[in-house]
Amino acid sequence: MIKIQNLSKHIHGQEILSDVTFSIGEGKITGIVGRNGVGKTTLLKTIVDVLRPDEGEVLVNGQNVQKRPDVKRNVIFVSDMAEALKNESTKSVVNLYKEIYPSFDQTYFYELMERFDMKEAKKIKHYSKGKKALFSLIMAFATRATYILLDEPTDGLDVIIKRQILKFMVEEVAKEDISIVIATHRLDELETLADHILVMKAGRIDSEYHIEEVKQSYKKVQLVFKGEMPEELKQYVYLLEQSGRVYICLLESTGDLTDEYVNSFQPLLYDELPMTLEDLFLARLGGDEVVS
Amino acid sequence: MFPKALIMKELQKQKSFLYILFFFGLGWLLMRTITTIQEWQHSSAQEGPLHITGINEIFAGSNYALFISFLLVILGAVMVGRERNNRLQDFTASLPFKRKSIFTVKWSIGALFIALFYSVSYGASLLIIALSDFQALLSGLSVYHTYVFPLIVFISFFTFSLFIGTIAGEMVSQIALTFIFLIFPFGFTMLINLSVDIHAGVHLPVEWLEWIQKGTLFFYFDQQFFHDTEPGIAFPLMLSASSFLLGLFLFEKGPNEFNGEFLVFKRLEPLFKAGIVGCFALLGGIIASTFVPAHLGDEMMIVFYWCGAVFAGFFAWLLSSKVMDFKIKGSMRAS
Repeated sequence: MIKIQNLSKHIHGQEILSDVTFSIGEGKITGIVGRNGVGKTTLLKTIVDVLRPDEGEVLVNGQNVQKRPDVKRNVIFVSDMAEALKNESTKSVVNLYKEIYPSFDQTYFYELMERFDMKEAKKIKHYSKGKKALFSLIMAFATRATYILLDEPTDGLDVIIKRQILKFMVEEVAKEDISIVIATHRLDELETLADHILVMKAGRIDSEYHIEEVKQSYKKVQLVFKGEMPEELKQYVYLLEQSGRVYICLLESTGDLTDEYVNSFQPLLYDELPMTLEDLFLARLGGDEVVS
Repeated sequence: MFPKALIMKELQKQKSFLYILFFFGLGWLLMRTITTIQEWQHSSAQEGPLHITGINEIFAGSNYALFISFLLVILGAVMVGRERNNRLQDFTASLPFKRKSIFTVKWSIGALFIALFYSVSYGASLLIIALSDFQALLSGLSVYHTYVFPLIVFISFFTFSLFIGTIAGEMVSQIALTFIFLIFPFGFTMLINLSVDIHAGVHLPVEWLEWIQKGTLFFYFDQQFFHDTEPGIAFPLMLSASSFLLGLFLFEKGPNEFNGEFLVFKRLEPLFKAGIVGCFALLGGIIASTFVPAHLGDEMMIVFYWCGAVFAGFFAWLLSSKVMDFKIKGSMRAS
């Protein structure tokens, strides 16, 4: 388990992280969402000791990463690798990783290269932006590390590769009991992926959600009334969109707001719609402040 | 302390520069040896073989030593400063190794490379002399002055550059600060000495300046700077040891969020700014005072001194503000 305890960090006099505390368990996908500049990258860099916190500590399996950097053999931060090693060949990067991470699985690496139709390159910089991102991910998963930290992992990937990658991550977590942490400003990517979501606002963990619990607590509906939506009902719903007399809203599935109660207002139409994470965050947190 | 992975990573990243330095340095020394032999042949034909001297001068001093020292400062900047510029430092810091091991591996590779490169160059040059008509001159060779001393000085230049790299935030500032601090003890003393001379007509005794010169690493590339006094290797050795130990400490403590900026230790910026402004003001004052014709007297010289000092100090303040606000594209942003 990775425990992040009371991390605070200032850069250029600006508070970037403020008393951040949470845990990352094994076999889970954790999403860290928040707008650009909210502190997501700083948080990930602090977890792997690229940046040192002003206060607080990061413990990997009970060991402080600053004092025992060897614990990072099980924690991979996928960010600048392809850029940092851009002048190396695929083979020399593989050789380097074999030395750094004793559990690096070369056979698995080549399997993944084949699966994603990646060719070896004489220099990493010869890959396109998308392929560089994909190569970094393949390298990370081939290390067989327990914790994989990804910073905006699908930036630059085309839609097809992006889907393949997201599917692949879910499979890996199910198969290998690894944990993935994804920092992103794109909620749609976490839709089918994350078990656990941390929302960051102004360097703080603003709220924390377990996706299944949240999805069971809300439902998205379309309502049409003869006239305006009754004021009495309005106070119970999170209005997502209104077009004329058509209301798209989020209702809490528990409590007093039962189907009977809604039907008592005699809507012309009362239909359930598929709900997305974005709907949830728009309704709960005023989406624009959460994600860009 | 020496993980193989870090050695591999360092060699992978630095191999191009190391090759260039090796072949360039070797080539230069061999050419220098061959041209010196040709000069000896010429002198021998004109004045007779008994007049031939100067075997030690091939190695000690000269443009060769200056240029190699310069390249070794760049080597230190390539190993630390360039990594800060291109974000490789972030990648390295995320790896499962102690920062002290990362610094120790860098220094060890650099120091071993210098020893190997200079030993091969030195050996090849001696071989050429041994195979020439002037092999008898080898009996006058001082191994201390031509091999031990330059080798230790070369390693000192490199180690000092690495140490400055733990304070500087990127490659250009590392190179600039290394050269400034290489000459700083003597340079700063001279600025004060000349300024006091202009105002009060007194200056430091020559013996004092010689002592300060001995405490200024820059002059060690050429032993002829020290005239009749033997400089000794104690100072470069002590400077190397203290630079290494201090570098080790600062590399461990250095904040990576300021990579790409002028300095990584932000608390030092006011001190550096004051230093830059002060030194430029002194230099500006000294230069301005030289424009005064002698017949106008000392008072006018002092007036010119202060005008020059204020102008240069103000210019340096503007320049240092720009330099300290400078940021390499892609350096840490809050995100």
